[in-house]
Amino acid sequence: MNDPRADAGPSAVPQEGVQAATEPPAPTGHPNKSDSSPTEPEQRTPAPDLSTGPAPAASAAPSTPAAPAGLASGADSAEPTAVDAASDGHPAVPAVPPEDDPAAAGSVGVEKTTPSAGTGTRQTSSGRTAAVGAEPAQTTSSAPSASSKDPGAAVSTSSRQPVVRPDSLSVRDTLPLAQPQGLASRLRDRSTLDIADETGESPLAAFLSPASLLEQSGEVSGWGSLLMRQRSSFFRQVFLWLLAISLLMSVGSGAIYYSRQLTFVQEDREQRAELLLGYLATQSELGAFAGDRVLLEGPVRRMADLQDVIYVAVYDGSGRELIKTGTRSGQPQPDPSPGLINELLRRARQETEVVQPRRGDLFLQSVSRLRHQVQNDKLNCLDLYAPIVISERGTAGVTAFLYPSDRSGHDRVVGVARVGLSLASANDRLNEVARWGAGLGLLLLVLGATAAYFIAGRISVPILELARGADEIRNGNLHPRIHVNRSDELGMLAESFTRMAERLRETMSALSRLNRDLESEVKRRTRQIRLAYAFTSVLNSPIDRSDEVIDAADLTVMLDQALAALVEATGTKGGGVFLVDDNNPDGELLVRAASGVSTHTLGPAPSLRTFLDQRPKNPDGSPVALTEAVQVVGRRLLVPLVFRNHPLGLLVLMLSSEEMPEPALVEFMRQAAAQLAIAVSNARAYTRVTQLASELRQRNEALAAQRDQVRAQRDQLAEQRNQLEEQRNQLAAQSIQLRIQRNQLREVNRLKSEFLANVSHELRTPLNAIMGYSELIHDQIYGPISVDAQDAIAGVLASSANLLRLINQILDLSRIEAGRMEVYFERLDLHALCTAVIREAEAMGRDRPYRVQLNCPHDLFVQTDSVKLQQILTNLIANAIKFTSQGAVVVEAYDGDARDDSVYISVKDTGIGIRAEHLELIFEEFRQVDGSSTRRYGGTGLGLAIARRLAEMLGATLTVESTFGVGSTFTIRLPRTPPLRNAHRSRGREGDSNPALSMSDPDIPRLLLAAGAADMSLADAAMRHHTPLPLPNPRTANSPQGSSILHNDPTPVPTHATDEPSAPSPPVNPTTSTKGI
Amino acid sequence: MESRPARSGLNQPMTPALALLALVTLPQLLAVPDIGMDSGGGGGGTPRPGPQVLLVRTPGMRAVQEVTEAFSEGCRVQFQQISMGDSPNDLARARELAQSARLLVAVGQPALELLVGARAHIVYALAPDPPSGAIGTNTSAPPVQVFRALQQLRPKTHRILAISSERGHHRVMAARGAARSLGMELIDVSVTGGDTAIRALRELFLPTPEELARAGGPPSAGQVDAIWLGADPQLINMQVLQFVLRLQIQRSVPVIAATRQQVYFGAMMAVDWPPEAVGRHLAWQVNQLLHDPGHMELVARDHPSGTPEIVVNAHAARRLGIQLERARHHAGWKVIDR
Repeated sequence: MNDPRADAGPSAVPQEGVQAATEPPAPTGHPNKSDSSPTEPEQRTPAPDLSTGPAPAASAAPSTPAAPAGLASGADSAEPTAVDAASDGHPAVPAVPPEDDPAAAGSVGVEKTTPSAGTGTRQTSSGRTAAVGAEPAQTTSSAPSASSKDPGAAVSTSSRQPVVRPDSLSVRDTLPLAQPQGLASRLRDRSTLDIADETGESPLAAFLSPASLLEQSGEVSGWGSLLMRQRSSFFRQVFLWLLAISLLMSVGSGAIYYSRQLTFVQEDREQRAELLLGYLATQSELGAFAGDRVLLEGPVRRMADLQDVIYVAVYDGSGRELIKTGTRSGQPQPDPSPGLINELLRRARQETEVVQPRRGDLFLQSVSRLRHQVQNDKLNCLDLYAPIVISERGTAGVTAFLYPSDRSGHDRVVGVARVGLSLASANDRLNEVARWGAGLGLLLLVLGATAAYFIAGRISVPILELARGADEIRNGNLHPRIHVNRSDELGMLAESFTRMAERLRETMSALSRLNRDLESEVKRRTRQIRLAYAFTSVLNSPIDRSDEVIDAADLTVMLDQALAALVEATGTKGGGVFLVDDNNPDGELLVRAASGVSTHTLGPAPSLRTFLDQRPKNPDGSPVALTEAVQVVGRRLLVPLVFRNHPLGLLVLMLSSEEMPEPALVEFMRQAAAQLAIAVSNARAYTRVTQLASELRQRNEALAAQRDQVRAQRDQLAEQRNQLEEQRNQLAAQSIQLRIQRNQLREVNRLKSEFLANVSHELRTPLNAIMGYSELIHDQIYGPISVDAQDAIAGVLASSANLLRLINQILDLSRIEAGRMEVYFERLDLHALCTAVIREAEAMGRDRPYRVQLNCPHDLFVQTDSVKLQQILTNLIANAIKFTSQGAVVVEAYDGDARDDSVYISVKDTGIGIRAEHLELIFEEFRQVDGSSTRRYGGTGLGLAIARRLAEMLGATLTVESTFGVGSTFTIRLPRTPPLRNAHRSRGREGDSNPALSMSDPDIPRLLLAAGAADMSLADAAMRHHTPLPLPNPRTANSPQGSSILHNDPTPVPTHATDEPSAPSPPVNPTTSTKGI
Repeated sequence: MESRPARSGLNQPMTPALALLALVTLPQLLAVPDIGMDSGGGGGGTPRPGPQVLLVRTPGMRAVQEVTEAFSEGCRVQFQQISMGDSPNDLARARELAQSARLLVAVGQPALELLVGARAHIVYALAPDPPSGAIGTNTSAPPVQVFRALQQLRPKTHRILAISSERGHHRVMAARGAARSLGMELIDVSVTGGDTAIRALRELFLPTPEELARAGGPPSAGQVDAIWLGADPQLINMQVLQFVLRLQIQRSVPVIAATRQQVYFGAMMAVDWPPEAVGRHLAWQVNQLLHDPGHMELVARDHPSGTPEIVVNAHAARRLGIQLERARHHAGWKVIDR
């Protein structure tokens, strides 16, 4: 309990202080103990030092005699003064410890009583006074008188400050502001110790106290001196720290100096040993090598003369001692350890054999590596050994000629050198170094202490003064008196403190003004916001009517309400809203709302264009924005209503005076006008949107109706499409049926041709026999026959000839249909051909009263088959002669026009003619106009059919023009050069007797559908779809589309057989009909 | 006058016998394909099982390098060169190649000792202690030329101390007559090695009083005018040379060395052939042996042609009080002054 270190637990300091503050009635430790326990850990270091001086003061302690001397100085501060742990903001605690409770004077009591004594005194002069002074009734002058034991404390507490009773004040009452526990508070905590030091009359403490110095120097005086005295612990702390640093530096520098010197001495000794050994080994090389003592005397003597060499010896390579000296004291040289020399030699030889030293480094390496030393304490020396190694390689020039035969090794150990190196000089030097180090350390310590004293004073005094000034400022005294007459940083800090206080005063004053202004501004702004909110609510009100159609009346109501709110918010007399007429944007403004004043007071409606043209200008000459064009005309404040840079009207406010309104009002009005413009625009837009919605609804209804119609049409189209689909399917089925029929017809035709060919052959063979024998009989080869018999035979011959011709024609027709008719094209003189044919045919018309005429130029040539053309012409001319009993038969050949590269041959007669409805019949096989013609004119009915087939083979066309009763004209259109496809056509016809169905089957329904869908002909559809359409089949030429016979004659067509050739032809209107093939 | 080979490179007249020999051997020389004209320093050529000529030289010495270069210039055949380094691989490779080479050339005593025992003929140079019967080129001049040169430098020289080991004793004995022919006396000190040589010299030149008393007279070394170091590898080493040079300085006794390298090291003088001449003579010997191995006697001459050079250390001579002004201008003299 009496050990102060036991009370100085640093961890207990703050906790105990807090605990004591929360338990006011509890006893707080013994005052003696409280002084002995520093509140900060670092205070424990100087405390023992200081306690050694004022030991007599410990006897002055009223209690606890066992307390340490250093702590006894605090006994005077153990008076039960009011303790409130001021620096920590704790409530005052009575500092009256029970003397019979030594336990309480332990670690707990220290922290509670130590600050109390000091802070209680301090606070009476600063914070407490500021806080409590205004309520003197709460203070008491009956402070505990125990403080009278401390002169200093008694003066401060009794004469300057009343002591506050702990039970009369609470922390909250006495300390409106929390007091920070900073440096100043900690310094105040040291005051008790300072006072204790002073009262303890410690000479060192008194000497170390800066208060005395300050008083003597006159820097502080009066209560400031007292404050300095109380706070001088800071000075002591700084001083002790500096002193400790100085001591540490002096001791450290001395130790470092000695350590370095010791190292230097040791290194020097090592170098000296190597040097000596090296020198001796080198100088002894020859002597050791030769084993000659005389050669060793010189170097050994020189070595022994050195001051620090005690003895020298050299051994040869076998370990034998060659030479040695005695010690300096005359004693014999101590012998080396037994076997040491041999061991050194062995090691050296091993090194030189194993490790090959480089040339030139041999000496140093051997000495440094193989050196051996032993401490000889008796002689105070080092016993040094080194091998003597010689190089047997030597210089290059020598080795070139004198290389030894013994090549066992390059280097050889020839001996050992021994030197006794004295340590006396080194020890003397170390002793000297130690003495110098100690002296230097002491000198540094003295200098450091002196410097620490002055530096601590220089540092602590101004800082304490600054701390006092800071306390005053903290307590509200903004006029602190800080006396620091320094020009260094502390002086600058003091000046800064003073300026800071002045600045603080100014700032506080400015803050007060700003606070007042701010409150008034807040009120004003609050009212404006409220009115603006009302204004905005009015503007937004039409938008809320979502389902109703807004109209002009609603807009007027909204404007009235908004204007009323605006007038009230701005405090103006009234105002109005002028808007542009929607139907006349360029017209005059119309009054739409007014509030507070009549429309008459508002004045005439201004011209919006004039108003905008007169708006102010920017510095660059351009007019300001429309929204910025606010003007004051008389008492009227005119603000444009602009929405999206489009002027809508004007907002007019009647000012109370003609003075220029405040900019804030103008800005507010500008923003209000913008909102109003938006509201007006929104209202109009809403109206427009409503109208548009109505129109849109109507249009939607119309569109719905149209959509129904379209849907019905689409259904119809779908139905039609289905029908077309059915038709297409039907067509496809018909196409299949037609293909089947075509194949059947082709087969039938083939069978017919085969039958005809077979029958014709079978008929012609016996017919030839009949005709031959008949002709033999008729020529009376078998003997004379009668005239009747000759006539009969002639009849037989004629019938046979007819029958043979018939058979030949059938054979030709069969050959053509069977594709066995060959065509040979050649250059043909048409005039010669026609002449030959006419000459041959004239035999038939010997009984005719006319002759066949020919009109053909001589230079008309054509490339064709002459036989086939001759057969065609023969048939045509024969028919013409046969059916022309009177009149003329004219054969005419001529060129076509320039566009037609063809030759035309026509056979014109003036015979019986052909009715128009019979024109297509004459080209069919076995067909004549009627059966009577056959009986009358003869013929098989195959001639024209064969002619047509032959013309087709030649690429020609055979047409007929006829007028019943007048005559007929058969015309052959013969190409000048045969078409290449002619042969193909002939072959095609050979394989496909029905060219109308020669298209591929898939094409037909596709073309039919396309034609039906586009309402076009089948030919157009084929052209559109790039599908070749086959030529029409002559057999189908009787169809309405394929027939080209135009005959208007209603009279029946006489047949050749029935019409009499001599009978005059009835008068008819000759109509030229053309039968195209 | 001695004969010279056709390609010896020396500008000296050819004797009629040598010319006749050249005429006889030239066709054979040209007929030997292995001895082509592609002489040079050991590169190129068709691959063979082993080199025709293998040259092994001691490394790290300038004299060896100069002899090798001169040999390269004079040798007419392709040869392979190996330098004995510190690496064991070099030695093993040299031994391996030596087994298959036709002719071995050793430059330096270590190289010669390395090749001793090989089957092929060995031709040496710069080897002071060759094996008996070996063919090579000796560098040191005959003793008579040495003593004559010494007499020219120091005419009052009469007593010459020669230290010899058992191995070099015959040379000293042979030189004794030469010295006597020049009016000099050769004092022979026989020792067993370098250490005994040092002790003997110390007792001669630096006797202790006890030794003087024991000898009973003044030191005999006081009557010695010069010390002659023969080419005795058993005797001469670094320490002996160092001690002899020390005596040269302390006792003003000139040291006649065996080679010019020792003169560079500090000896007063030496008489020997320059390395270039040694290399050329070595090449001539090799050429002759390759050409006619059956007549080794033709190349048995162990000295290069011409006269040796007298090499004098001017610094040492000045310390001994010898004037070299005349010697500087004589042909065949080489004064080292550095």
